[in-house]
Amino acid sequence: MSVSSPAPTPPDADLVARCLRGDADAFDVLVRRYYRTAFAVALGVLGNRQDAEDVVQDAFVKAIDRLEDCREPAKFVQWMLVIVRNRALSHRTYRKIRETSELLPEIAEADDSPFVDAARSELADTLQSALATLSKVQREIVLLHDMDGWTHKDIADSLGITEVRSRQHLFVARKLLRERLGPSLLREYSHE
Amino acid sequence: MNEELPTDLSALDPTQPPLAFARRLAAVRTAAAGALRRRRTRTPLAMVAYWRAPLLAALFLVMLVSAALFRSVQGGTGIDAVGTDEVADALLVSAVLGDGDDAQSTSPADILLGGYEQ
Repeated sequence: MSVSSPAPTPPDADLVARCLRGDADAFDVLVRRYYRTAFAVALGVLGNRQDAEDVVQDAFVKAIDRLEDCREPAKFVQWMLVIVRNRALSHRTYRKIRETSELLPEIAEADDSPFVDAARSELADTLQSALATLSKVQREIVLLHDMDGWTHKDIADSLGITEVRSRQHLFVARKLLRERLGPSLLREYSHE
Repeated sequence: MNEELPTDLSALDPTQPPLAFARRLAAVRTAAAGALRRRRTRTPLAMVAYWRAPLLAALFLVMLVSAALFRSVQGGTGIDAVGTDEVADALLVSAVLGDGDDAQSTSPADILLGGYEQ
């Protein structure tokens, strides 16, 4: 969800106030709302999906633990992304979390046909490899823009760069991705 | 131009497929359950327990300053000799007085003792 998209309902500030009182449902809504955004940032920094998922999980726990530090609840996502970015930068400490989460009861990963799942997983691996060849900032911008629908203004604000610079990074990132993936691979997937 | 078209990154979307996303949400929920429970059960006593370290540190500091003041006042003779000026300086009384000529006519110790010596 883009930062400047129409205000979601219920507003973040209300959800944060409820979370401060320990409301698990409100926390659930925040996680659903910003999981993809947090994942995009973490994947941009780390370049690895599994590590990014670990970091996102840890960042949400850290956020609920230190929610009093969120001075502007209406800007929860910006505050949250700072946590995600910081946690991602020191991701090596999260290897232990991965070992723990493997002990959780497994819910079937697949809910499409085995063929679609395998194809999706293979494509995700290919995309991850291609993304790994980009710089961190290019990766974060292409993920936020093309996967999470952020505007260049939001990206520029979040990364502390100009909108023009954001557009340049996106242009180069897309060009590099297309060179590495080949247009046929992307077209084949998008037609499914 | 191709570079103006969005790249299809949906294969990396963590919210798809829905069941996999449900598993991720469940993992976050489980990990955050303790923190949320603590928030729900936060009684005044629990609040004090949460702030016990800074509260104890502040209490210790107050006790130290009180003990130093008490000793210096109990000393009777040679009050200045036991360091009233130092205590006054530590409490920033001299900062209130300023560093001009007035500060020389009324020492920090005088202010602290409230004319006791006279």
